[in-house]
Amino acid sequence: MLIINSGPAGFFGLDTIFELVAALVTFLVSILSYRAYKFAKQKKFYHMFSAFLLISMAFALRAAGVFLLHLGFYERIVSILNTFDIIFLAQMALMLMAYTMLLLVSMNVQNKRVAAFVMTLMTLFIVFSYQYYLKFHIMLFVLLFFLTVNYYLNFRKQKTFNSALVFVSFYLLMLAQPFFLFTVHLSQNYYVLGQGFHLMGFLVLFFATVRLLRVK
Amino acid sequence: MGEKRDKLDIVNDILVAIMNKGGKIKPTHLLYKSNLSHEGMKKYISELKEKEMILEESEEKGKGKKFVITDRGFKFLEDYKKVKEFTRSFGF
Repeated sequence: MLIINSGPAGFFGLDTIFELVAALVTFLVSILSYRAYKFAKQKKFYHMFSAFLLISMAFALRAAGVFLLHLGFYERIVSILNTFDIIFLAQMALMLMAYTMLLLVSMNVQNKRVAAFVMTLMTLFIVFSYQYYLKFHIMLFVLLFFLTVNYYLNFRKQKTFNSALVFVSFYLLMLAQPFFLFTVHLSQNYYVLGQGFHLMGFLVLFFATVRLLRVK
Repeated sequence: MGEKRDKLDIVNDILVAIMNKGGKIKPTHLLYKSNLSHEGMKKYISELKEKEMILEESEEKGKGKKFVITDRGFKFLEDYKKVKEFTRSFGF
């Protein structure tokens, strides 16, 4: 099953650029988190660094997969397609692990066994199930919903422009997920909308990151 | 009631207290400004001196000593501000 090309033909390749943007932005946030960890020596920053690095790796992996298809080595294309599901599964596992880790940090869950249990349960549930593409986006929507709620509550508490930007970025990322689901049963054009919301979300996050880098 | 201060917050409060006094402060003033017990402050001062974030400067005879913030101390304040803003943005 070729899931990597789930949008309209004309959009194929452009989504790779969007995903590279996402990989870059999340990599920048991971750098910020690592700097915070080096300064404060607190595990929450290390977990955040790991989470954003995993998200970055997941996007980079998917972009690499699309790039391989774009190279157009016809004699190799079949083997690439055969390995595609492996790329998607790896991307899915990385993303789920990352967003779960982010949610656990955001909810201040410190019990390692609880965290490991939640992550294992969710990954196994999705990976070893039928229609994992659908379940992946449903699960991502749920994770992003709770993250968005947490970031909204944080914005209400802090009332800073940056906390608003973080909230808005995760809200947009959450909104993207239903469109990826509609792609399967309705129209491939929803994929473009999903990617559009995704890109907007990461651009808002990039703006927040740049503002954090410029704090003096 | 405010949130409980962690170690970094206390170090920041000490350094800010020194900075607000023009970079130098008397121990008695610092004790008052930092809102710590005498023993607590001694522990933090010793650590800050060890990390070269502050120096102890002896004044003229009879005027006692003062704590002076160093470049490392200023660097800490800068980094603390960045990390604090990062923490506020993502809310932990």
